[in-house]
Amino acid sequence: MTVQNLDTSPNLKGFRGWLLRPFYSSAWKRFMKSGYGPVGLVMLIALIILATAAPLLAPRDPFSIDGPRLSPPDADYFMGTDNLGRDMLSGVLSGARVSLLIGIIAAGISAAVGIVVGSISGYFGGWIDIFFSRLTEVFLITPSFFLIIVVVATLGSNFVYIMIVIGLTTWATNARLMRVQALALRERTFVQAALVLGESRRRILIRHIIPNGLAPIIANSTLLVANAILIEAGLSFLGLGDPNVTSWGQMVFIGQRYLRNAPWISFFPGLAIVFTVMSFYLLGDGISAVLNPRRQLLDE
Amino acid sequence: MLRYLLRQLGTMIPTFFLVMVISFMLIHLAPGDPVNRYSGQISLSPEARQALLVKYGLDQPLPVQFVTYLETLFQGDLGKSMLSGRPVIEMIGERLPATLLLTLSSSTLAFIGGNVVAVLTARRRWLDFGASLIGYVLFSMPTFWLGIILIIIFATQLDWFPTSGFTNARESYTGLAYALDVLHHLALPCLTLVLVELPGYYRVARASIGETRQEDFITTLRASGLSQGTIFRRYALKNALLPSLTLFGLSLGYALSGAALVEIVFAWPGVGRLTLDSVLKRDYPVLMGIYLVIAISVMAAILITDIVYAFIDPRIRYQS
Amino acid sequence: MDDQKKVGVFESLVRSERNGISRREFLRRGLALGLSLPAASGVIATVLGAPVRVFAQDAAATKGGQGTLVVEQSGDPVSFNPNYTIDDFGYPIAFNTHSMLVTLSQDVEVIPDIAESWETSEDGLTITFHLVQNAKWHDGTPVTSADVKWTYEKIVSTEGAPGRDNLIMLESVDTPDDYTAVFNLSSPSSQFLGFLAWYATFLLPKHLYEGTDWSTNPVNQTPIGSGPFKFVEYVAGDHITLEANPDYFGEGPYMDRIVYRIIPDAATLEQAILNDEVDVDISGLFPTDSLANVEADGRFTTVEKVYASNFYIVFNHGRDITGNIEVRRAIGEAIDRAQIVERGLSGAGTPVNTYYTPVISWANNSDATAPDYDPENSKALLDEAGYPVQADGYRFKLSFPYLAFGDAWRSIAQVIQAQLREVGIDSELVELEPSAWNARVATDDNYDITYLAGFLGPGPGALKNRYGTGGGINFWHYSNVEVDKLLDEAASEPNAEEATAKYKQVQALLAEDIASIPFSGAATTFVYRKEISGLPVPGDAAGDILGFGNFALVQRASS
Repeated sequence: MTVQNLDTSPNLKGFRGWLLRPFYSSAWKRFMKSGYGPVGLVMLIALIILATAAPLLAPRDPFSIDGPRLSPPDADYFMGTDNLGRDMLSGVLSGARVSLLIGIIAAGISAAVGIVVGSISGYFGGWIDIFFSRLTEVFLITPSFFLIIVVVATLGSNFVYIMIVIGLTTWATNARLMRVQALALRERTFVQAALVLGESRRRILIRHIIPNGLAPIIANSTLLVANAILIEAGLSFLGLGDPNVTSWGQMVFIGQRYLRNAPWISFFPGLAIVFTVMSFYLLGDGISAVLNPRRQLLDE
Repeated sequence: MLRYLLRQLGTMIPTFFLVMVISFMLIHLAPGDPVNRYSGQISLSPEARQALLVKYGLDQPLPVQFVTYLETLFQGDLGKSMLSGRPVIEMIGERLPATLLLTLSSSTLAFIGGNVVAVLTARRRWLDFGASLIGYVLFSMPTFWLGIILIIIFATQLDWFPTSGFTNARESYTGLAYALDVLHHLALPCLTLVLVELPGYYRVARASIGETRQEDFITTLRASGLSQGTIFRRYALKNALLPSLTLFGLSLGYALSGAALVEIVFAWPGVGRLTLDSVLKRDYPVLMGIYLVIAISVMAAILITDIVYAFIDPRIRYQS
Repeated sequence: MDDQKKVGVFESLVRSERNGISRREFLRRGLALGLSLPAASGVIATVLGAPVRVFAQDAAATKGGQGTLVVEQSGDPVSFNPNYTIDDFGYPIAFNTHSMLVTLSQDVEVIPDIAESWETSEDGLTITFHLVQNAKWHDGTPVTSADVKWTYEKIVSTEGAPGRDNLIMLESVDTPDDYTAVFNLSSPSSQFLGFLAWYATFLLPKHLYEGTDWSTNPVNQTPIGSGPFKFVEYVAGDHITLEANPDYFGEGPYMDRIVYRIIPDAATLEQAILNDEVDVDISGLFPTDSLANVEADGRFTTVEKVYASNFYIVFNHGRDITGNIEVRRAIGEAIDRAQIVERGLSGAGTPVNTYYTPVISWANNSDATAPDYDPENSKALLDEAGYPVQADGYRFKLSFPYLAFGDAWRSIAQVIQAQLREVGIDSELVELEPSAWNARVATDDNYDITYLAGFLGPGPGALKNRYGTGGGINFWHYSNVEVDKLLDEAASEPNAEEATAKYKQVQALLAEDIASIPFSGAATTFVYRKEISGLPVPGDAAGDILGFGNFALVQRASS
């Protein structure tokens, strides 16, 4: 008599299995169920593809001023031209790279600093904790926009400076998140076990504490990317943007004066900003859903 | 409770000290010659330069300057503007009413609105989805862009509100008419801020409500037979609103920093614009003063929020 | 001149290049002096009888009663003392609250203000001013020559006063009676009157300022002047209110109040004007591309004001690449002036290729021109000069800081950047506030090219400041011994024609050396409601009797 095979789990052997495994994990399922996550992910992937392929897709050099000024969208210029005669479509596409770069690097720096400060602070405790906590608090207290304006106005509106400054003024929330994680993790058995087994504290920090505490930082980072893009737009509005690059923020700012004559100048990059920022928020919500299954935004 | 309060206060002191250090460094870290900055960009002979150095104490070693700075601070003197010579406190003070009017009202409305919407949509799936979607869109808009669009629609096209400014320039109202005029001018900038802030409160409240409803005590209550609605109103709601309260408390602390972008678009005379003008003109004493004022305000807000929280949730007091 | 001083002089000139009225104001005044003082000569041969102020004795309108005028202002003033520091946003207000001895008309002539007439001595060392006798300070005290003496001696003796360097030849002021002031100069100067009518030379009340530090005197916040309007209030960030001065010594004022509304954003300003919230904009903030809307609207008047100024690209002659004349020629040939005017300035300018301004045509050498637009030749020149195109598509990269004076300046820089790229020259734009720009360009010498708008100062003599070796604003290390010689000769040349010829020769040499690349003139458009008249702007008679920004004669026709 044969026994029915009641094992319904998918066949995950081999290379194909290795590739597909993540998509069968419960984490992934929770992510998909969240509803927002997948939408955000799809939007983001589309964005990254567009940004990477921008040089190929853009019909013209975004800086070339050959086109007619203030020309509405037509067959030749799908998104119209701006006040200098630059093709908006090319501008928006190459602006994607700039904005994404600013967002991701700024958020990356912010996360990196936050992780380091938070994990050291939480894990080692004592005076180190006290000092770093105070430092974190100072940066939490300072309105980051204020600090960013001061630094950019003083040191210059270079695109690179802007990225770094945004990163260096927003790390405090990440540090706090990481610290909480570190505090909790250091009491866990496997960490205690590693200590007993003779692993150096530094190795424990790097191999155990940080990777396991990363999750909320990742969720927060998506928010930070979105915010970094909005901050850059704000800086451009104040005249503190980098004039050498086309960023969506700058394009929206230029378009402010032309809202009645040439609304397309603000409209398309504005739309792009909203789309991008939304995609990061949605993605972040999806990740939050994975981390915290009870935090369902959509009702059962 | 008192012990908790004192403990919290105690941790703030070193932080504040760090804040003062940073504030002091603002003027000395910036590139260029500090004397040029104090002289307001006018050319100087060596004697005049030396006189200025002495006048502002810049000829002393840095630690001595820092101590002097602390001394003046504790006398309540935030220094004088480099350009106009006016006391910084005065310059900040005259902008406070407009600033607070804008930021406090928008934060409060956003807080209330966000929570109301969260509660209303909590149990109706499609409303929830729609609200979330709109929320995402609003959250992602650059404020200055939203601002000018509101101006064009509600001021120019519909003529319901004035485009900008604090009061009507042609008339000089007093008393009630003045108050109404200010409110009339407040409407659009406040609306702009509310539209971008409300989704934030909504998200937090919504997530918290979702979380609370899955807590054990709710399940117990359900098992006891109470209706969903009653449970929600009497038990879940209070706890669910706590996180957004923290957010609100913090944003009250930031109220003093103004909203630079909105202030520029609506020509609203707030601290945000003062900050920007001072940055562009390199008027460091004013910047330092604003920074300190904001820091104090935020720390006070954090302290108060902590206390309120501790009051509501006794576990916190005993934990740390 | 030591560095500090150079920086200071430059800053005092550049400072007025800020957004809004003062920059334009400055340029206008420069034009004024250029026109009215043809010979940069040291000797004044003629005794000038100044025109006596004509009062419309039977003026149709009575003072006051015309309501409120709302005027645009794009930033906050530092204080209401217009003499102690450069304060671009305080300046327009000072024209209404304070008076000068003499001022500049719309056509840039020196006209009377509180000095109703004046005579200059034969040797040019004494100028006698006769004051009006009915002028009062806003607190009721009469204005006398004692105030004149105090004010101008104060300016000249205070280091850091923006007006000081220009009036430095003033030794002392005598006051033989209450309404006569005698200025004693250490040397004759054809420029003096013009400078006196120019910048930071308003009359201040001696009885309130004497013995105090005029930079911190509280009167600076609630000024007492002698102008047509009195200060009422200043709500920081929002508005400044002035009310009519019934004791004003001149004609008018007809408006009851003037309210300066502070609106920093151009798009908002446009909406405010369309919504009847602002009556007059002479700040230049109004977006040029929206002028068509406003003109078609029918409720407004627009007036264009052309300035005697050039926009010009400046090279750092001390560096290898830009020090090479062939490279400069190539850059000159890469510049398409029409395109810069059309796209960078939105049409508010005219292509210019001469080294002085064609608006002051008698002093302009129209044959001394910068290279014409020829991008193909430009590329060839660069190849020949030893700068072939590299792997990244460009030949070299220039550092290009520019002044943060708003959208037009940024657009111009971006257009130039694009045009240079067409011939293979890359550049890095850096937008800097005036003090930061100054630090980078003047002090640190850290740039390859930049560009400026040419403020003209007193006549073609201003060329010395820019192109003479060691000139006050010659930060770009341009030096030509021949040019220096000619400049000195022209400055001391008593014969006006000879002097002009020499200045034209200087321009020819500048063109030969390709010292800089001029590309456009400058213009701005004022916008105001149709029913408003009496504004001191082009096309209105008020501009001939009042200084710019003085609203004493403004009236609003009832509809």
